[in-house]
Amino acid sequence: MANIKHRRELSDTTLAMLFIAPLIIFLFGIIIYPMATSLYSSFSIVKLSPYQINFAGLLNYANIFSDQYFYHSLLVSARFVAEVVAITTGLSLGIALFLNEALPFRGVIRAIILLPYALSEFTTAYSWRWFLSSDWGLLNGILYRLGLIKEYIWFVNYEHSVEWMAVAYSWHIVPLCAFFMLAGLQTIPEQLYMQAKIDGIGPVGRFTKITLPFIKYAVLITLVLSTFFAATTADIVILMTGGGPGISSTTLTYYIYEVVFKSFNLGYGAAISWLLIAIVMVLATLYFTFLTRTGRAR
Amino acid sequence: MKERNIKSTKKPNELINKRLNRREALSTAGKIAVTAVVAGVVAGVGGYLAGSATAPPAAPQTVTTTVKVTQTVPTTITVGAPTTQTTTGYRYITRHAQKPTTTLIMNGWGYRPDIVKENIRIFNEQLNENAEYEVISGDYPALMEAKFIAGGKVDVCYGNPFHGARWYARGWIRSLTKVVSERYGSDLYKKIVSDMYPSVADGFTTTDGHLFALPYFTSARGNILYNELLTQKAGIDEPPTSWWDLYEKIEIVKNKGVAETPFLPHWFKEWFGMAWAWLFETMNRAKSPDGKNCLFDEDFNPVFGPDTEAGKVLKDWAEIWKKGLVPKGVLTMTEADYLAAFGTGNFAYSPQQTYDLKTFNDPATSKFAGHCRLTPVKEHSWGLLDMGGYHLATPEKDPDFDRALQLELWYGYRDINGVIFVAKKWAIETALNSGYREILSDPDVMAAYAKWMPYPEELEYEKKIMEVVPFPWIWKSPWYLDWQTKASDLLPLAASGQRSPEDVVKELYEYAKKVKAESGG
Repeated sequence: MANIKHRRELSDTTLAMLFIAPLIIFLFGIIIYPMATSLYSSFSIVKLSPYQINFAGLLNYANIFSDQYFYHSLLVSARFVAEVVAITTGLSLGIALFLNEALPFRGVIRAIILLPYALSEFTTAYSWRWFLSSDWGLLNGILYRLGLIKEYIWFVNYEHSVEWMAVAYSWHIVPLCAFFMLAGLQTIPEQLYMQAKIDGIGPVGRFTKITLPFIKYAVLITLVLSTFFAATTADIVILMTGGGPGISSTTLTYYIYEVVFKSFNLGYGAAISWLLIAIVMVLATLYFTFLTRTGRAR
Repeated sequence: MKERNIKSTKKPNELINKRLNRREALSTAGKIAVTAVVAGVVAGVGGYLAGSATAPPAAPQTVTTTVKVTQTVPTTITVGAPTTQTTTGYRYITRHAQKPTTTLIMNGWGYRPDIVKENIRIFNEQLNENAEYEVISGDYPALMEAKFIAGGKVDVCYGNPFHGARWYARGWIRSLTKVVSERYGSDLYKKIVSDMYPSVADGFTTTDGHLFALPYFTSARGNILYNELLTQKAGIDEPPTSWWDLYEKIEIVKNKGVAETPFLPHWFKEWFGMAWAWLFETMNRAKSPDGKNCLFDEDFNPVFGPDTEAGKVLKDWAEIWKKGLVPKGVLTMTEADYLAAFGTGNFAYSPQQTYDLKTFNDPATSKFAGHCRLTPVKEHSWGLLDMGGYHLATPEKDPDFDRALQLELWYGYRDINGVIFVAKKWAIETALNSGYREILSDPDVMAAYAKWMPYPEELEYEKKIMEVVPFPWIWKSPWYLDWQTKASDLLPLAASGQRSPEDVVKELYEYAKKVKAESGG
């Protein structure tokens, strides 16, 4: 007992640190170390066999700016992200408003609406690929049977492959965003709407003056999430279009996949990846700045 | 202390309900951790010793097994003394007295994993072995290379010749010329090579003469298959004799209103889609057995240009696209989509694998089963020699090396009974031809082909095709895959009129020079 008395008691903080230490080590192993390696690789020329990593300064970053395929994929990504964000924000707001009504079987309807998000991106991509196929796709089949087309349409063509990818991807993530908005909608006191009605404010006024301010942060989350998701997804591109036809739907993520996993140019691929992270961070900051500034002005 | 001493006598509920103080919790956790580490070390050492015990011993042991020899061992083979436990059956394949504890890993793409797993089961049974098959789903070359780079366990793996050339150059796979000769004698090595088609052995050999794979399958990819229901309807009685003849015939089919898009070209969006189509059509039209005079020369320098056959092929593609002779959706198809599309029976002609003649004559996968025909070689060859091989990846210093070599030889050559077992099984079950000549003349294989092949004379066509089908020399280059990635991206642009064929050919030429220079030649 005497020995025990002299032992130092662990403080709560130390104990907490001990408990979370395995998690920190785990996170270090799977996130921090790979990210640090990736950052270092982006400033290096990496050779695989034999493995060599030679510091090259800003060479990879300089090469990016003379790479016409980088610019092409950046534009494709920008188009894809803009379309996904627009579709997702609009649709999820609409769905949230619908789900906020006192509907019969509301629980069942909510569950059904959530289903597309329950599917993996892999399944989403394949389902849409089959749906849109120009040879045996369901959409062509329906249109043909209804007599609306005389020959099958090539939907995923050079001009519209990005749009179809955006539709497919939005279909996948809209339920998640809709539920964020729904959560925002349910915080609005019903009395505010009643009072507004008494004051003679119409539906549009009630929406802009009551609904929107209350769900502003849900909209912000939707914007940020859909931007992050769309800017960083590669599965949908790899599996739905393979970046094609040609390179028409080659987004930045798909281009990185090709550079890293097909050409094994790891240093260059890492540099493009870090540039992509920087772009996404800037966009997120802009969203926050814009929406929080509007809030203060109000 | 008291509490600790009575711990074992307490009932479970008491133990569960007992509140542990912080020190006791940490102490217990520490004990568990130390115990786990000690147990791990003991298990590791034990496992290592057990693994060592299964490694080939220095002197052969005499262990009687019940393996039945069903085929005469070719007498021309002189086999060096094997270092493993027992030698019953075919002399260079041996059965273990005790099942090894470490597992051999064979990696492959996902074609008929049921058959591969069954073969592995038979291998394990015949040799009392411990091998497993792991399917790599998705982009096989990229994922396999990632596994090699990460140092994952691979003993034997599938690959195409250009993978093998690249992997060998990077030190990821072994020279079979060296290891077979060293372990079993050069006569066995010579026998293996002489059993193959010369083009197959050549395709699996590096420019400095090292055999780096044993054949899994061989086929002519790009051989024209045709739907005789549609061609007869269009009044076409003869199969095409050349690519130019083919393009005339598809116009006839279209003009007679028999098919909206009569030709399904090999332009699908896979790494082996359009790039290979360009290689084989160029080689076929230039009557080149290896593409050295029309694509890449002996030293892998590009020799194609806008006015060469390669450039003309692209111009013809742009033309047939413009005329609406091909389905536009082919540019985003996977290979599975491509096979399913031809199986609909809506297309008159398509460059396909020779072995898919069975697929399209099977009512389960084709709407024109019984009417899919193989185009014989007339004016020039069709397609290119598409081969899969088994590559030995285990390092020579690895204790499992000899076992892995046995797996390689069993899979890629003969089993314990001296039969080219795996290749024969593939030929019988899926019509995959082998790199070994005796397979297509094997009575069991011929009987199996006769069951589904509507026109038996086409077996002779297939033999002729295998004799003349070209093999792209550039596949021996370690940087070919880099170039292929770019080609797969750019060729569709030329075919579909998004960019001029001249521009694309020039860019691919420059890119070939660039990657060659960057890889050091």
